[in-house]
Amino acid sequence: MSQHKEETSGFVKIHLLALAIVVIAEFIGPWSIPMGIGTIMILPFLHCLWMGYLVGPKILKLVDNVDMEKASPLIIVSVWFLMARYGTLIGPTLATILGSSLALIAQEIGQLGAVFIALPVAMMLGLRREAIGCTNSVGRETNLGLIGDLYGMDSPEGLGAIGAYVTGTVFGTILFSILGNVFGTFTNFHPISLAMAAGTGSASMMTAASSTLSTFYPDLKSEILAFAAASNLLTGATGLYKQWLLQIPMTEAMYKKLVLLLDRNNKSQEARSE
Amino acid sequence: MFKKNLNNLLWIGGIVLLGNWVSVKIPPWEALPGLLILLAMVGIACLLNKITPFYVPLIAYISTVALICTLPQFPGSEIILRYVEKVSFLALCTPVVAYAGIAITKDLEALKGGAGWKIVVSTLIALVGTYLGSVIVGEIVLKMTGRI
Repeated sequence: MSQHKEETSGFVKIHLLALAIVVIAEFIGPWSIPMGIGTIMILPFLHCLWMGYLVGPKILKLVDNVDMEKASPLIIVSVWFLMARYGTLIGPTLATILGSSLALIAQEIGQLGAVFIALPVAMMLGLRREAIGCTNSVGRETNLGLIGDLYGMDSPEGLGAIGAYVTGTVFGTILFSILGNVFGTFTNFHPISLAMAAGTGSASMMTAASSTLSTFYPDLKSEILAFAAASNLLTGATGLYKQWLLQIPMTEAMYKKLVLLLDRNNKSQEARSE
Repeated sequence: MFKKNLNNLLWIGGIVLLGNWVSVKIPPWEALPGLLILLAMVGIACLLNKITPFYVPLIAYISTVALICTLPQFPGSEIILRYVEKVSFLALCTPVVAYAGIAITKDLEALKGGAGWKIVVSTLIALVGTYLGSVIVGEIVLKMTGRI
Protein backbone atom coordinates (compact mmCIF):
# COMPACT_ATOMS: atom_id res chain seq x y z
CA MET A 1 0.00 0.00 0.00
CA SER A 2 2.75 2.39 0.96
CA GLN A 3 4.54 1.50 -2.26
CA HIS A 4 1.40 2.29 -4.21
CA LYS A 5 1.24 5.68 -2.56
CA GLU A 6 4.84 6.32 -3.45
CA GLU A 7 4.15 5.48 -7.08
CA THR A 8 1.27 7.93 -7.27
CA SER A 9 3.25 10.73 -5.67
CA GLY A 10 6.04 10.13 -8.18
CA PHE A 11 3.59 10.78 -10.97
CA VAL A 12 2.29 13.94 -9.30
CA LYS A 13 5.82 15.35 -9.36
CA ILE A 14 6.16 14.63 -13.08
CA HIS A 15 2.74 16.13 -13.86
CA LEU A 16 3.60 19.28 -11.88
CA LEU A 17 6.89 19.62 -13.74
CA ALA A 18 5.13 19.11 -17.07
CA LEU A 19 2.58 21.74 -16.03
CA ALA A 20 5.32 24.26 -15.25
CA ILE A 21 7.18 23.50 -18.49
CA VAL A 22 3.99 23.81 -20.59
CA VAL A 23 2.94 27.12 -19.01
CA ILE A 24 6.43 28.62 -19.43
CA ALA A 25 6.67 27.33 -23.03
CA GLU A 26 3.31 28.91 -23.91
CA PHE A 27 4.31 32.16 -22.17
CA ILE A 28 7.50 32.32 -24.23
CA GLY A 29 5.34 31.67 -27.30
CA PRO A 30 6.52 31.10 -30.87
CA TRP A 31 9.80 32.53 -32.11
CA SER A 32 10.04 33.56 -35.73
CA ILE A 33 13.63 33.95 -36.83
CA PRO A 34 14.09 35.77 -40.15
CA MET A 35 16.66 33.94 -42.28
CA GLY A 36 17.34 35.82 -45.51
CA ILE A 37 14.50 34.97 -47.90
CA GLY A 38 12.59 32.81 -45.42
CA THR A 39 11.52 32.68 -41.80
CA ILE A 40 12.23 29.89 -39.34
CA MET A 41 9.31 29.26 -36.94
CA ILE A 42 10.08 27.81 -33.52
CA LEU A 43 6.74 26.72 -32.05
CA PRO A 44 6.21 26.72 -28.27
CA PHE A 45 6.38 22.93 -27.90
CA LEU A 46 10.01 22.93 -29.01
CA HIS A 47 10.86 24.98 -25.91
CA CYS A 48 9.78 21.94 -23.89
CA LEU A 49 12.78 19.96 -25.14
CA TRP A 50 15.47 22.29 -23.79
CA MET A 51 13.49 22.92 -20.60
CA GLY A 52 13.21 19.15 -20.15
CA TYR A 53 16.96 18.82 -20.48
CA LEU A 54 17.39 21.70 -18.03
CA VAL A 55 15.39 19.98 -15.26
CA GLY A 56 17.17 16.68 -16.02
CA PRO A 57 19.93 14.98 -14.00
CA LYS A 58 22.70 16.72 -15.98
CA ILE A 59 21.83 20.27 -14.95
CA LEU A 60 19.18 21.11 -12.34
CA LYS A 61 18.78 17.49 -11.15
CA LEU A 62 15.03 17.92 -10.47
CA VAL A 63 14.34 14.53 -12.06
CA ASP A 64 16.28 11.28 -11.72
CA ASN A 65 16.31 8.08 -13.78
CA VAL A 66 13.21 6.70 -12.02
CA ASP A 67 11.24 9.85 -12.87
CA MET A 68 12.35 9.67 -16.49
CA GLU A 69 11.18 6.05 -16.71
CA LYS A 70 7.79 7.22 -15.43
CA ALA A 71 7.56 10.13 -17.87
CA SER A 72 7.94 7.94 -20.97
CA PRO A 73 4.50 6.20 -20.83
CA LEU A 74 2.85 9.59 -20.20
CA ILE A 75 3.99 10.66 -23.67
CA ILE A 76 1.67 8.01 -25.11
CA VAL A 77 -1.27 8.90 -22.85
CA SER A 78 -1.02 12.58 -23.77
CA VAL A 79 -0.98 11.65 -27.46
CA TRP A 80 -4.51 10.22 -27.03
CA PHE A 81 -6.03 13.71 -26.64
CA LEU A 82 -4.05 14.94 -29.63
CA MET A 83 -5.28 12.06 -31.80
CA ALA A 84 -8.89 12.77 -30.82
CA ARG A 85 -8.45 16.43 -31.77
CA TYR A 86 -6.93 15.40 -35.09
CA GLY A 87 -9.91 13.15 -35.79
CA THR A 88 -12.15 16.19 -35.33
CA LEU A 89 -10.09 17.98 -38.02
CA ILE A 90 -10.63 15.15 -40.52
CA GLY A 91 -14.39 14.68 -40.00
CA PRO A 92 -15.65 18.02 -41.38
CA THR A 93 -13.33 17.84 -44.45
CA LEU A 94 -13.66 14.10 -45.16
CA ALA A 95 -15.39 14.65 -48.53
CA THR A 96 -12.42 16.68 -49.83
CA ILE A 97 -9.94 14.16 -48.46
CA LEU A 98 -11.73 11.18 -50.07
CA GLY A 99 -11.54 13.06 -53.38
CA SER A 100 -7.74 12.88 -53.07
CA SER A 101 -7.60 9.36 -51.70
CA LEU A 102 -5.57 8.10 -54.66
CA ALA A 103 -2.79 10.58 -53.90
CA LEU A 104 -2.93 9.69 -50.20
CA ILE A 105 -2.49 5.99 -50.93
CA ALA A 106 0.22 6.59 -53.55
CA GLN A 107 2.33 8.73 -51.21
CA GLU A 108 2.29 5.86 -48.69
CA ILE A 109 4.11 3.80 -51.36
CA GLY A 110 6.39 6.77 -52.15
CA GLN A 111 7.65 6.61 -48.58
CA LEU A 112 9.36 3.31 -49.46
CA GLY A 113 11.84 5.37 -51.48
CA ALA A 114 13.55 6.28 -48.21
CA VAL A 115 15.20 2.85 -48.08
CA PHE A 116 17.07 3.49 -51.34
CA ILE A 117 18.69 6.58 -49.87
CA ALA A 118 19.10 5.68 -46.22
CA LEU A 119 20.28 2.06 -46.43
CA PRO A 120 23.36 2.68 -48.63
CA VAL A 121 24.37 5.67 -46.48
CA ALA A 122 23.92 3.69 -43.25
CA MET A 123 26.05 0.86 -44.62
CA MET A 124 28.76 3.16 -45.93
CA LEU A 125 28.96 4.64 -42.42
CA GLY A 126 29.81 1.10 -41.30
CA LEU A 127 26.49 -0.13 -39.94
CA ARG A 128 25.48 -3.66 -40.90
CA ARG A 129 22.36 -5.43 -39.59
CA GLU A 130 21.59 -2.39 -37.37
CA ALA A 131 20.93 -0.50 -40.61
CA ILE A 132 17.89 -2.69 -41.30
CA GLY A 133 16.39 -1.66 -37.96
CA CYS A 134 17.05 2.04 -38.18
CA THR A 135 16.11 2.63 -41.80
CA ASN A 136 12.81 0.83 -41.21
CA SER A 137 11.56 3.17 -38.56
CA VAL A 138 9.80 6.51 -38.56
CA GLY A 139 9.71 6.75 -34.78
CA ARG A 140 6.42 4.98 -34.23
CA GLU A 141 5.82 2.34 -31.62
CA THR A 142 4.56 -0.02 -34.34
CA ASN A 143 7.96 0.09 -36.12
CA LEU A 144 9.71 -0.81 -32.92
CA GLY A 145 7.21 -3.58 -32.18
CA LEU A 146 7.49 -5.18 -35.61
CA ILE A 147 11.31 -5.23 -35.68
CA GLY A 148 11.23 -6.67 -32.17
CA ASP A 149 8.82 -9.37 -33.32
CA LEU A 150 10.80 -10.34 -36.41
CA TYR A 151 14.41 -10.12 -35.17
CA GLY A 152 14.18 -9.84 -31.38
CA MET A 153 14.86 -6.71 -29.38
CA ASP A 154 18.42 -7.81 -28.44
CA SER A 155 19.48 -8.39 -32.05
CA PRO A 156 21.51 -5.82 -34.02
CA GLU A 157 18.30 -5.02 -35.96
CA GLY A 158 16.54 -4.43 -32.65
CA LEU A 159 19.34 -2.12 -31.50
CA GLY A 160 18.97 -0.15 -34.71
CA ALA A 161 15.22 0.13 -34.20
CA ILE A 162 15.59 1.32 -30.60
CA GLY A 163 18.19 3.86 -31.72
CA ALA A 164 15.83 5.06 -34.44
CA TYR A 165 12.95 5.35 -32.00
CA VAL A 166 15.06 7.39 -29.60
CA THR A 167 16.36 9.55 -32.45
CA GLY A 168 12.79 10.11 -33.60
CA THR A 169 11.68 11.13 -30.11
CA VAL A 170 14.60 13.48 -29.46
CA PHE A 171 15.27 14.97 -32.90
CA GLY A 172 12.10 14.12 -34.84
CA THR A 173 10.10 17.14 -33.73
CA ILE A 174 12.99 19.49 -34.49
CA LEU A 175 13.68 17.79 -37.83
CA PHE A 176 10.04 17.97 -38.94
CA SER A 177 9.85 21.65 -37.93
CA ILE A 178 12.86 22.27 -40.16
CA LEU A 179 11.30 20.25 -43.00
CA GLY A 180 8.05 22.22 -42.68
CA ASN A 181 10.05 25.47 -42.74
CA VAL A 182 12.40 24.60 -45.58
CA PHE A 183 9.79 23.04 -47.88
CA GLY A 184 7.20 25.69 -47.04
CA THR A 185 9.60 28.51 -47.91
CA PHE A 186 12.03 27.30 -50.54
CA THR A 187 10.14 24.82 -52.73
CA ASN A 188 7.24 25.02 -55.14
CA PHE A 189 5.52 21.86 -53.94
CA HIS A 190 1.82 22.28 -53.34
CA PRO A 191 0.99 22.77 -49.63
CA ILE A 192 -1.35 19.76 -49.77
CA SER A 193 1.50 17.49 -50.94
CA LEU A 194 3.62 18.86 -48.10
CA ALA A 195 0.75 18.35 -45.67
CA MET A 196 0.44 14.69 -46.63
CA ALA A 197 4.19 14.24 -46.16
CA ALA A 198 3.91 15.88 -42.73
CA GLY A 199 1.79 12.91 -41.67
CA THR A 200 4.52 10.34 -42.32
CA GLY A 201 6.06 10.36 -38.85
CA SER A 202 4.77 10.27 -35.30
CA ALA A 203 1.95 12.49 -33.98
CA SER A 204 4.31 15.15 -32.63
CA MET A 205 6.37 15.16 -35.84
CA MET A 206 3.14 15.63 -37.79
CA THR A 207 2.12 18.53 -35.55
CA ALA A 208 5.56 20.10 -35.90
CA ALA A 209 5.61 19.91 -39.70
CA SER A 210 1.96 20.73 -40.39
CA SER A 211 1.56 23.60 -37.95
CA THR A 212 4.82 25.18 -39.15
CA LEU A 213 3.62 24.76 -42.73
CA SER A 214 0.24 26.31 -41.95
CA THR A 215 1.92 29.50 -40.71
CA PHE A 216 3.08 30.01 -44.32
CA TYR A 217 -0.39 29.28 -45.78
CA PRO A 218 -2.87 30.69 -43.25
CA ASP A 219 -5.75 30.46 -45.80
CA LEU A 220 -5.21 26.73 -46.24
CA LYS A 221 -4.69 26.02 -42.54
CA SER A 222 -7.66 23.71 -42.02
CA GLU A 223 -6.96 21.72 -45.21
CA ILE A 224 -3.26 21.38 -44.33
CA LEU A 225 -4.02 20.07 -40.85
CA ALA A 226 -6.77 17.75 -42.13
CA PHE A 227 -4.58 16.23 -44.86
CA ALA A 228 -1.65 15.77 -42.47
CA ALA A 229 -3.94 14.06 -39.98
CA ALA A 230 -5.54 11.85 -42.64
CA SER A 231 -2.12 10.80 -43.94
CA ASN A 232 -1.00 10.09 -40.37
CA LEU A 233 -4.11 8.01 -39.70
CA LEU A 234 -3.58 6.06 -42.92
CA THR A 235 0.07 5.37 -42.01
CA GLY A 236 -1.12 4.29 -38.57
CA ALA A 237 -3.68 1.91 -40.03
CA THR A 238 -1.64 0.47 -42.91
CA GLY A 239 1.94 1.24 -41.90
CA LEU A 240 2.45 -2.04 -40.06
CA TYR A 241 1.42 -4.17 -43.05
CA LYS A 242 3.31 -2.00 -45.52
CA GLN A 243 6.46 -2.33 -43.46
CA TRP A 244 6.08 -6.04 -42.85
CA LEU A 245 5.10 -7.16 -46.36
CA LEU A 246 6.90 -4.61 -48.57
CA GLN A 247 9.53 -2.55 -46.83
CA ILE A 248 11.40 -5.20 -44.86
CA PRO A 249 11.64 -7.73 -47.74
CA MET A 250 12.83 -4.86 -49.96
CA THR A 251 15.42 -3.77 -47.39
CA GLU A 252 16.67 -7.35 -46.96
CA ALA A 253 17.11 -7.83 -50.71
CA MET A 254 18.97 -4.56 -51.05
CA TYR A 255 21.08 -5.34 -47.99
CA LYS A 256 22.35 -8.59 -49.57
CA LYS A 257 23.43 -6.75 -52.73
CA LEU A 258 25.07 -3.89 -50.81
CA VAL A 259 26.96 -6.19 -48.45
CA LEU A 260 28.53 -8.03 -51.42
CA LEU A 261 29.42 -4.76 -53.08
CA LEU A 262 30.95 -3.16 -49.98
CA ASP A 263 32.89 -6.26 -48.97
CA ARG A 264 34.34 -6.63 -52.46
CA ASN A 265 35.47 -3.00 -52.30
CA ASN A 266 37.05 -3.50 -48.91
CA LYS A 267 38.88 -6.63 -50.09
CA SER A 268 40.29 -4.97 -53.18
CA GLN A 269 41.43 -2.06 -51.03
CA GLU A 270 43.15 -4.45 -48.64
CA ALA A 271 44.80 -6.27 -51.55
CA ARG A 272 46.06 -2.99 -52.92
CA SER A 273 47.52 -1.88 -49.60
CA GLU A 274 49.33 -5.20 -49.26
CA MET B 1 -6.66 1.01 -20.29
CA PHE B 2 -8.96 4.01 -19.76
CA LYS B 3 -9.63 3.41 -16.07
CA LYS B 4 -5.96 2.77 -15.34
CA ASN B 5 -4.98 6.04 -16.96
CA LEU B 6 -7.95 8.21 -15.94
CA ASN B 7 -5.88 9.94 -13.27
CA ASN B 8 -3.15 10.76 -15.78
CA LEU B 9 -5.70 11.86 -18.38
CA LEU B 10 -7.24 14.30 -15.88
CA TRP B 11 -3.83 15.74 -15.06
CA ILE B 12 -2.96 16.10 -18.73
CA GLY B 13 -6.39 17.62 -19.39
CA GLY B 14 -5.77 20.22 -16.69
CA ILE B 15 -2.36 21.04 -18.15
CA VAL B 16 -3.93 21.41 -21.61
CA LEU B 17 -6.57 23.83 -20.25
CA LEU B 18 -3.89 26.03 -18.66
CA GLY B 19 -1.65 25.93 -21.74
CA ASN B 20 -4.67 26.77 -23.89
CA TRP B 21 -5.44 29.71 -21.62
CA VAL B 22 -1.91 31.11 -21.95
CA SER B 23 -1.49 30.49 -25.69
CA VAL B 24 -4.89 31.27 -27.27
CA LYS B 25 -6.40 33.20 -24.31
CA ILE B 26 -9.45 30.95 -23.99
CA PRO B 27 -10.20 30.55 -20.26
CA PRO B 28 -10.39 26.98 -18.89
CA TRP B 29 -14.12 27.18 -18.09
CA GLU B 30 -14.86 27.89 -21.76
CA ALA B 31 -12.58 25.14 -23.07
CA LEU B 32 -13.63 22.53 -20.48
CA PRO B 33 -16.68 21.15 -22.38
CA GLY B 34 -14.55 20.60 -25.49
CA LEU B 35 -11.88 18.84 -23.46
CA LEU B 36 -14.49 16.58 -21.84
CA ILE B 37 -15.82 15.69 -25.30
CA LEU B 38 -12.28 14.68 -26.34
CA LEU B 39 -11.96 12.65 -23.14
CA ALA B 40 -15.24 10.86 -23.92
CA MET B 41 -13.98 10.05 -27.43
CA VAL B 42 -10.83 8.53 -25.91
CA GLY B 43 -13.03 6.52 -23.53
CA ILE B 44 -15.20 5.14 -26.34
CA ALA B 45 -12.08 4.24 -28.36
CA CYS B 46 -10.56 2.39 -25.38
CA LEU B 47 -13.79 0.41 -24.99
CA LEU B 48 -13.87 -0.50 -28.70
CA ASN B 49 -10.19 -1.45 -28.56
CA LYS B 50 -10.95 -3.77 -25.64
CA ILE B 51 -13.84 -5.61 -27.28
CA THR B 52 -12.28 -6.00 -30.77
CA PRO B 53 -11.02 -9.60 -31.16
CA PHE B 54 -8.14 -8.60 -33.52
CA TYR B 55 -5.36 -6.00 -33.21
CA VAL B 56 -6.12 -2.40 -34.13
CA PRO B 57 -3.82 0.33 -32.77
CA LEU B 58 -5.63 2.33 -30.08
CA ILE B 59 -4.66 5.69 -31.60
CA ALA B 60 -6.26 4.67 -34.91
CA TYR B 61 -9.47 3.96 -32.98
CA ILE B 62 -9.32 7.33 -31.19
CA SER B 63 -8.95 9.30 -34.44
CA THR B 64 -11.67 7.28 -36.13
CA VAL B 65 -14.18 7.79 -33.30
CA ALA B 66 -13.47 11.56 -33.35
CA LEU B 67 -13.71 11.60 -37.14
CA ILE B 68 -17.16 9.92 -37.14
CA CYS B 69 -18.48 12.24 -34.41
CA THR B 70 -17.57 15.32 -36.47
CA LEU B 71 -18.87 14.17 -39.88
CA PRO B 72 -21.46 16.70 -41.09
CA GLN B 73 -24.01 13.82 -41.21
CA PHE B 74 -23.45 12.93 -37.54
CA PRO B 75 -26.26 14.29 -35.34
CA GLY B 76 -25.01 17.18 -33.21
CA SER B 77 -21.62 17.34 -34.98
CA GLU B 78 -21.88 21.13 -35.23
CA ILE B 79 -22.26 21.48 -31.47
CA ILE B 80 -19.39 19.03 -30.88
CA LEU B 81 -17.16 21.03 -33.24
CA ARG B 82 -18.11 24.36 -31.69
CA TYR B 83 -16.91 23.15 -28.27
CA VAL B 84 -13.90 21.15 -29.46
CA GLU B 85 -12.55 24.09 -31.47
CA LYS B 86 -12.05 25.97 -28.20
CA VAL B 87 -9.18 23.55 -27.48
CA SER B 88 -6.22 24.52 -29.68
CA PHE B 89 -4.47 21.52 -31.24
CA LEU B 90 -1.10 23.13 -30.53
CA ALA B 91 -2.01 23.36 -26.84
CA LEU B 92 -2.70 19.62 -27.02
CA CYS B 93 0.74 18.93 -28.45
CA THR B 94 2.76 20.91 -25.91
CA PRO B 95 2.25 18.42 -23.02
CA VAL B 96 3.31 15.53 -25.29
CA VAL B 97 6.66 17.21 -25.93
CA ALA B 98 6.90 18.27 -22.26
CA TYR B 99 6.82 14.63 -21.09
CA ALA B 100 9.25 13.71 -23.86
CA GLY B 101 11.47 16.58 -22.70
CA ILE B 102 11.46 15.37 -19.10
CA ALA B 103 12.71 11.96 -20.31
CA ILE B 104 15.18 13.42 -22.85
CA THR B 105 18.38 13.00 -20.80
CA LYS B 106 17.77 9.23 -20.58
CA ASP B 107 17.23 9.04 -24.34
CA LEU B 108 20.34 11.05 -25.16
CA GLU B 109 22.41 8.79 -22.88
CA ALA B 110 21.15 5.73 -24.79
CA LEU B 111 22.49 7.17 -28.03
CA LYS B 112 25.95 8.01 -26.70
CA GLY B 113 28.99 5.98 -27.66
CA GLY B 114 29.50 3.05 -30.01
CA ALA B 115 27.41 3.05 -33.15
CA GLY B 116 25.11 5.68 -31.64
CA TRP B 117 25.86 8.62 -33.92
CA LYS B 118 25.79 6.41 -37.02
CA ILE B 119 22.29 5.26 -36.09
CA VAL B 120 21.21 8.86 -35.46
CA VAL B 121 22.51 10.02 -38.86
CA SER B 122 21.00 7.03 -40.69
CA THR B 123 17.63 7.53 -39.01
CA LEU B 124 17.55 11.24 -39.85
CA ILE B 125 18.29 10.41 -43.49
CA ALA B 126 15.55 7.76 -43.45
CA LEU B 127 13.08 10.31 -42.01
CA VAL B 128 13.97 12.94 -44.61
CA GLY B 129 13.77 10.28 -47.34
CA THR B 130 10.32 9.19 -46.16
CA TYR B 131 9.14 12.80 -46.21
CA LEU B 132 10.66 13.42 -49.64
CA GLY B 133 9.24 10.21 -51.13
CA SER B 134 5.83 11.15 -49.85
CA VAL B 135 6.01 14.76 -51.16
CA ILE B 136 7.14 13.77 -54.66
CA VAL B 137 4.67 10.92 -55.21
CA GLY B 138 1.84 12.90 -53.58
CA GLU B 139 2.52 15.91 -55.80
CA ILE B 140 2.62 13.80 -58.99
CA VAL B 141 -0.63 11.96 -58.23
CA LEU B 142 -2.44 15.13 -57.09
CA LYS B 143 -1.46 16.76 -60.39
CA MET B 144 -2.37 13.69 -62.48
CA THR B 145 -5.77 13.40 -60.88
CA GLY B 146 -6.32 17.14 -61.28
CA ARG B 147 -6.72 17.84 -57.56
CA ILE B 148 -4.22 20.71 -57.64
